[in-house]
Amino acid sequence: MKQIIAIVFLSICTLPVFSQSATKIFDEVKEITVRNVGVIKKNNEIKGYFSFYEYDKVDKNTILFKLNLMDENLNQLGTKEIEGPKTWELISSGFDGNNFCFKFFDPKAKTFELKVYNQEAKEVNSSELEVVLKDNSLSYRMYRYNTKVELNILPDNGFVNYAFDNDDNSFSTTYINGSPKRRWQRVYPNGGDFKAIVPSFVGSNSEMMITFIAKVGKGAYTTSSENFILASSITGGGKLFEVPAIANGKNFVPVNVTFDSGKIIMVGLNYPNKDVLTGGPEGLSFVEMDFKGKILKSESQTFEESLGKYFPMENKKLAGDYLFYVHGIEKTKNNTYLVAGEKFKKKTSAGGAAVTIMTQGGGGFVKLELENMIIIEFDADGKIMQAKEIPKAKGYTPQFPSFLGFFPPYTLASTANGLGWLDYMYSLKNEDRSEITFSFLDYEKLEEDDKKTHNFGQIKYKNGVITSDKVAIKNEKATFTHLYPAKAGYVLQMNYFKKKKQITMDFIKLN
Amino acid sequence: MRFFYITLLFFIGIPLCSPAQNDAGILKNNFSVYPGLNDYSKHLDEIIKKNAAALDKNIRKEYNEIITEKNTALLTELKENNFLFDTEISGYLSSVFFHILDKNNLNKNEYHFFVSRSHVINASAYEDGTVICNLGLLNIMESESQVAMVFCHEIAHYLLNHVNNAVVKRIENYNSPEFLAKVKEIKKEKYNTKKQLEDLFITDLFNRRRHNRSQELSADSLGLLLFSKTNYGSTAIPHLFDLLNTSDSIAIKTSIKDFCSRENIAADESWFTVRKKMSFGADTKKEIKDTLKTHPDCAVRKIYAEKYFAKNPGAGPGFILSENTGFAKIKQAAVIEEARYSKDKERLSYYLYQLIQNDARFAGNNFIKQEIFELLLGFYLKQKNHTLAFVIDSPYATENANDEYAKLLKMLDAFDLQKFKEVTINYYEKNKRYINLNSELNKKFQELNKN
Repeated sequence: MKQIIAIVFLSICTLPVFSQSATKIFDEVKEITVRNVGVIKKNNEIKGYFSFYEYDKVDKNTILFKLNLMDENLNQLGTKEIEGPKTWELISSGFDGNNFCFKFFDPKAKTFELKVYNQEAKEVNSSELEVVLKDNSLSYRMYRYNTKVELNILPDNGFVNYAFDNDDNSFSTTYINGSPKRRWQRVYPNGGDFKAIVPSFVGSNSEMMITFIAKVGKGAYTTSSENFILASSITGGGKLFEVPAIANGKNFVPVNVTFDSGKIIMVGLNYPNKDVLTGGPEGLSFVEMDFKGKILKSESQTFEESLGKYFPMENKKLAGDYLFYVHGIEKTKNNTYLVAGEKFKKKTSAGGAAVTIMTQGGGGFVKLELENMIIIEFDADGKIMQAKEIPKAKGYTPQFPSFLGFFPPYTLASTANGLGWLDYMYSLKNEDRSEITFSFLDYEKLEEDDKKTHNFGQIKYKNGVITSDKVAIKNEKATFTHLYPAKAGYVLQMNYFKKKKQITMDFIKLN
Repeated sequence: MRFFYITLLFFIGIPLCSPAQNDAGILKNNFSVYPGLNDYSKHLDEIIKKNAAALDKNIRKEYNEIITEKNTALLTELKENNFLFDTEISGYLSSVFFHILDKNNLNKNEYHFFVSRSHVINASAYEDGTVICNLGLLNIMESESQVAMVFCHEIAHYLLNHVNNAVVKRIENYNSPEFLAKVKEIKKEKYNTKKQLEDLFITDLFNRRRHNRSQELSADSLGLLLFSKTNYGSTAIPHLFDLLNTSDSIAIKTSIKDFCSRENIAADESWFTVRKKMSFGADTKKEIKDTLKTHPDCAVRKIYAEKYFAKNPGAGPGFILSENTGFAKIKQAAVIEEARYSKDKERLSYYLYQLIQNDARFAGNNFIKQEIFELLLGFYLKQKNHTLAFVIDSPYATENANDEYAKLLKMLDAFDLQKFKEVTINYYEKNKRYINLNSELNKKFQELNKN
């Protein structure tokens, strides 16, 4: 959701899309260029890691790649040789419990491809999308960005990918699974009424998948959208229902969905107006629907009503003028909901103010001040069971371009989140949801003699108890260090030693 | 060489079947540094010169490099506390080894015998006359005659010059005009070069493994001849191959589930449940697995031994230099020592596993209880400092329901700081009559209790 929000915003403001590609050399394979390294997830559960590297030249235009898979403990699972174009990249991967799916992108041919392999590493299904968009179009920029978006995984039931691959300013949905004939593609019709239609995967059961859809109105500066909840059949992609995303008269953006005894139970953010892509949420909503989209029960509350019972509030904000940016909502084994977020506020520097006056423009040099993490546990009716503020050092995002200064704080926070500028990293859970973790970066000095202050923090929910822990990320001898998500309770630290031409991967278990 | 005379001298003064003297079976004299290192190093230099001189000039340099690398590694291992130089275990095993040489009129000066502290069930021979027996081998042996048969097999490898021939053959193959021509041809090509080179080396690997298996049968054949002259009885020898075949399960004395139950550790059933492994790639075909095997099937070797002894029955005893009870005590000392080796190497999860198994072997042993407690306490402190993952092995998925070590790792993986605390306190309360809380340990335990 957040990434899609960010790209829409960026596209509207005509900012370039940031891309990051890394080529790494491993010690064991000195002569081999690693194209991509990443995690294999089954929803928010880490199942393993992949590396995708060039192995041999097949002909002028074709490379023999090797796709190497390891399990969540970095034990070798196997290697598959795949031939593909020179410019190929492996963008995302997933495991649905039976099969692996990999999303390949060829920027030269403007195609991306989903390939499904069974556990014998045999290709059992594939789907290719060719893009017909013009390079400079808004749709193409959105398409390019979305090739980077992770695959959506339907537990034991396949994979879903959204793409902006048509000239209708809409999106298409591709579903694929491990049975050779089980795949479909559907284009969501626009009809020319909207400048963009943005999908966001919410969840699925064995019969249907829920997608949140925001249709952005026309107009150069319009950011408000008509919002809908779409339920599609997994069998063929047919529409089961599509209803306005409104609960208790508020605009509702579902973040988490579960299915129970014929009911669709959703928890998400509520907004005071239709500007859900760039505006700020007002609070949380708990919504139950039947399988036809009829709301059976809903409960909405503002942050002031919920957080206010646990944290001091001033003028509908957290004390100190802080706002609450919700990063994730996860359902626990005990059928409660964990909401994790970060305190932030908009900050204009002194220089920024001067520039603002001189240029008579809005904003100046604006950045966000980031503060503590907050975690709240709600019961199924939306009643808070516990709430904790997890301290982390006060920090700042890089400065936003001056012309963004007039945007509201939530818009900037969504943009910063899309760019990876906020301290929150990711949330993970184990298979039975008894352990859920929210990870973040912190810059507090944990020890007096620390030269660098770069810590990995984790908030852990285990069997009803919330704890937090931090560990300093330091290896003074390493040329650089990179963190990867790991199985519940751990973080995987990769250290690269340039002189030794060596990479070490260390699991660190947090408390 | 001096070492052997020293150890033989020990035998004169100490009964060979002398058990470890304390309850725990801890070795009293563990000479971790080999006293004859310089002489051994000179011996290796002499052998390399002698063997190289017999080779074609074109391959001498490469041969020297390979053997020197092996010698350097071996000498480093000898310096780094990886071998056992005690009077009991290595003394006893040396006596068995030298008994074989003696009865077969073999030149003792050509041989060096070492006991590795490794738990891995294995013995090995080198081209220079060095024979190594891992402590782990003793875990599955039921008689001295079986140990002797293993040594006969390794001595046979040396006498048949298998290691040296294999090295020379490999170098000759890689320098042969045919092989070089193939490599040159591949290198000339623009595409698929790595793939073709890989295929070439895989073919070579298959050929070598096939050759290795034929060498193993030759070593068995000569080994049986050597064994016949040792005065040991042959009754237990065919069964040796059954033991080698089922070695993994023999070493297990208790399950982790039973340990948890005994020690009041609240366990999660999922730690002990075997699930289908996630995989990526077809299971290797049986014919390829067979091709890659280094040794022939134990069943085949057993039949061969049975046929041999049917024609050449050996009526001697199962024990010559020890007796059954003495052998059992040597085995006891060996399992304790191989566990200590895991501790020295900071492979602490495996050390815990070995202690749990030893706890089941030797019930009520103070040393084992104390070590388990100290280990659990240490795990708690390391977890608190986020360094636990550096001393415990990473869990691995297995479909083998009898893999108790995999279950232990799964359990440790699931433990958080609170659980380590709870388990350590429970363990202490249940076993405090065996545990000596010295001041340093007490301080650490208090720290755990406080948090």
